[in-house]
Amino acid sequence: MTLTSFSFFAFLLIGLLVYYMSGKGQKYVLLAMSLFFYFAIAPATLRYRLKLCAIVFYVVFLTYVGGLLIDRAKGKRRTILTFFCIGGLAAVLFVTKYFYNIFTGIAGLFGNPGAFEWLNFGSVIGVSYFILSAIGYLTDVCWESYPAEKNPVNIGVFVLYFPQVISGPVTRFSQMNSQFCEKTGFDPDRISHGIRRMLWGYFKKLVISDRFFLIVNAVYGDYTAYSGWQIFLATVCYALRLYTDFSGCMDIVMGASELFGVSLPENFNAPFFSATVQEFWQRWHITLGGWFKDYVMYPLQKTKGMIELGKKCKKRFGKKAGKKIPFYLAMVVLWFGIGLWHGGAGYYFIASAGIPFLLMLLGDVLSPLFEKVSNALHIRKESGIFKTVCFLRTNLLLCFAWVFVCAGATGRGFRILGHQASHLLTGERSVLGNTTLQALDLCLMFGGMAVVLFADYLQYKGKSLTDLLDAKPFALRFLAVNAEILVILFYGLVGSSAFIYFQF
Amino acid sequence: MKKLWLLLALFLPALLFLMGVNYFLDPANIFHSDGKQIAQALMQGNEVYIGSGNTDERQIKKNMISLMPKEVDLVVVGPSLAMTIDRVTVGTENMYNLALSGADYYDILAQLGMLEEQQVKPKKILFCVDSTFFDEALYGQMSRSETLKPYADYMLQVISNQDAKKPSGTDWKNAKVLVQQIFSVTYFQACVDYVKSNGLSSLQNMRWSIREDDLSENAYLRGDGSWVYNRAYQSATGETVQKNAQEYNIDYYFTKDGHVSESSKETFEQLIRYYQGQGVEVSLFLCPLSPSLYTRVENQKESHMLLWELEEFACRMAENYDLELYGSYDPKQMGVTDADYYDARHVRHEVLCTFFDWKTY
Amino acid sequence: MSREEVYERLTAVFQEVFDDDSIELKDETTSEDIEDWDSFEHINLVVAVETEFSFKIPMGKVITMKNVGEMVDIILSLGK
Repeated sequence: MTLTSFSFFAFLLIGLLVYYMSGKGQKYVLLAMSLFFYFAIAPATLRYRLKLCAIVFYVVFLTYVGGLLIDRAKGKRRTILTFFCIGGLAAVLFVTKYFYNIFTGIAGLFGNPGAFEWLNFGSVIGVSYFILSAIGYLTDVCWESYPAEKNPVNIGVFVLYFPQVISGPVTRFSQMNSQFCEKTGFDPDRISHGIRRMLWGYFKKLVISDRFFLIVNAVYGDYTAYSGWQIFLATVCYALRLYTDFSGCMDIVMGASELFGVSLPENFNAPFFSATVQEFWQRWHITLGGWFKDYVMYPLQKTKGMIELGKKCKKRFGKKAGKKIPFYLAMVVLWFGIGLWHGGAGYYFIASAGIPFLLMLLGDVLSPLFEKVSNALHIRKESGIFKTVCFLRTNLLLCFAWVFVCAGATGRGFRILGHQASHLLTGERSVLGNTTLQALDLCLMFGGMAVVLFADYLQYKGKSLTDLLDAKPFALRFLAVNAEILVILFYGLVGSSAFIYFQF
Repeated sequence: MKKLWLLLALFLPALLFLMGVNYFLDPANIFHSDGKQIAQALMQGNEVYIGSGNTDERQIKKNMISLMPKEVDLVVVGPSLAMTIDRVTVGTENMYNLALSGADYYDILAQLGMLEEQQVKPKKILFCVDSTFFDEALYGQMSRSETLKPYADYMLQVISNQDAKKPSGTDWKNAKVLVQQIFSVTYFQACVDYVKSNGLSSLQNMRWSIREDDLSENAYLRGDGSWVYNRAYQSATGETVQKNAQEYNIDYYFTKDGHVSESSKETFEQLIRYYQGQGVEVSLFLCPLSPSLYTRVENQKESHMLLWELEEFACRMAENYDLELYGSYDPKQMGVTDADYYDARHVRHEVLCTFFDWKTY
Repeated sequence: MSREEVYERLTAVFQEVFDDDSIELKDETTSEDIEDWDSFEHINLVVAVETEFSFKIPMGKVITMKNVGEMVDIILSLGK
């Protein structure tokens, strides 16, 4: 089962029917659906399913029992217990994500790389996300934000809720639990919005995203044949691809969740309209950044050590400069954590943590300089031109990060950058040369992207495309939605039919 | 209530459109049982155009078997290499060509099983020997014949003298598949592609029609189940054949480093013995490769021994069981050139007829 | 402690932390209204408030407080 498969829609439809007929028992339906979904999206081998069972049971049990125990403990014991439980949860992440790589690497050094094959769990879907949600819950209980949940079903639904289990968003118990426990009445408007959101996601993913990917693959697959300028274009294509793919996936899951009357937190807020790199990370993968800020950075900053450091720095370097050092230190920890979460592999670390961190550092250090320059040139900060320049600057800078992701390896990333510098304008073939893209595809990609950016611009201004259409007469809404559906039907890259084969 | 109607009005039209296109265009014949109707038309002596390049020939020939008379002079089985052999060539009206493109081990066994089940007794079976039957690497992959498996299993039981259970009427169409495909976006796009490549006129006589005149350029089935290629395909030249030979995937079709599968050999021998016990004559046909292709494979003989092993096996069988053997994979034996072919593998019908005196009646 | 008192002392803290004597606080003031009040400075601000009023604000509230009005409410409830 994938998000574009028939079984997913059948699953949703049946689930919806049961859900709206089950009155008070709705959250049990959600739990059942979530369990079913989680096993359906995973490989179907018995061994793997047993592994999943173990993980699911362990995580829900630890979260539920841990919460209750933490709530009853006092003082230092409370904190220690919390760390213990969080450690237990984080252990799942380590074992499924890192242990195999680390130990195999070490064993390889000793000439026996196969020694730790039994640790090869393979990646387990969703673990990166729901473990964070669970850790957040335990931390909240420790901080007395709310009492521990006494009903294990509520914990189960919160942790395993199916729309978010594949790739987030990372949720907080306080925002989700009340929604799960409230009875949702059948509201056609909400269903309509849910479906429209899903369609929007499918449009982004199937019509736009996969086409950009063809360019990225062609150029990065054989980068020496392209000029620096062309590689840059391919990098931009990657950014557009990643955005439409990820946010499209988010739209699909959030739309699906909407069908059940449950609102998930937004993960994107017009990220390409960011004036600074810092702002970008507040608009991109919002729930992840938010989670790390609230549960890693803030607790760190509030420790005695950091506060003392801040005081000392202020004394030595004055107020402004003194603030910077603990700030940068906190940033390093934050970005290290995010890099680790993304997989810990060298190039991913650099792309998702190293470069953003450097860029934010640079931005911070150079901001007084920028101030002086823009004042000298009498540029108004509120002007549209200035803002647009800032948006472009931010996106350009981030391309450095994307290069490493596309390259797939640290060394390769540097080599590509080097190639770009040395072969800025000399390339052997056109960007579209090795792809099957036609004029029509380009229209779809760029036309589609224009619509997406327009919708994002509305979002940036605090409005939404949905509201805009809702305010118009039904006929216009009908045209817009059905035009979208037809584009997806005719031009969505959904693969080819297994039933069509030719005779000879 | 009004809101509910608006909801349905917003999304239902598109859904119905999707379903409608899939159902009515149906290029892969999933929702229509054209196979039965086409078979009936053929058995009445008509020639039939197959509209889409995708009609399920297996279904057509299965239905032909159920309409065949119980006593038949000749039946041809094998892959597309033997598909053009017709009544005129063979010299009897009571002959049926059951060859299928890509007919593999299970396809052929299933057809023989169906003949058995219908109690159709041919006097002679012309078996086109090809790697698709004898190479496990090939028939393991092809999944077109999934639904025919019960008949293949039945035949295997019959020839090994086991108590054979006749398969219960296998449901050709799986309900789950029907539901999935009517909502399928991939199938929708296949429908669109079909209309694009065949023009809007194809919407009229979509899937098949009876051939009434000589005007169309399309391929068609003759009443005996044999196949006539479309005019474009027939206008191939020596150069196009050479080019096709260069691009032909020899590593796949003559599995690189592969060998004739022992189980196939065993089954084949069992078949021969069974038919001889029933008084049915079995003749073997080895369709020659085009010279360009043969040279290419010969240059890599060590890694493509399968072709020679197979010919050697066929000769041995013919000798041991006193079977008629027509042809050879080696085009030099048959004195053909590239120009005598439609493509790297398929011999022109006119040339095929001249190979030997097929007329044994 | 009255609400006005809290506001007086809080305003002094804000002016100190953000180095800006012109800052004026209302119930609806949020981080959007004060230039340097970003997610990092938020903690510095909280720490300064805690030092000024001599008690610790629970972490849960640190994350969820939306505006100055809420902050004042928290201070008042903790003061009792």
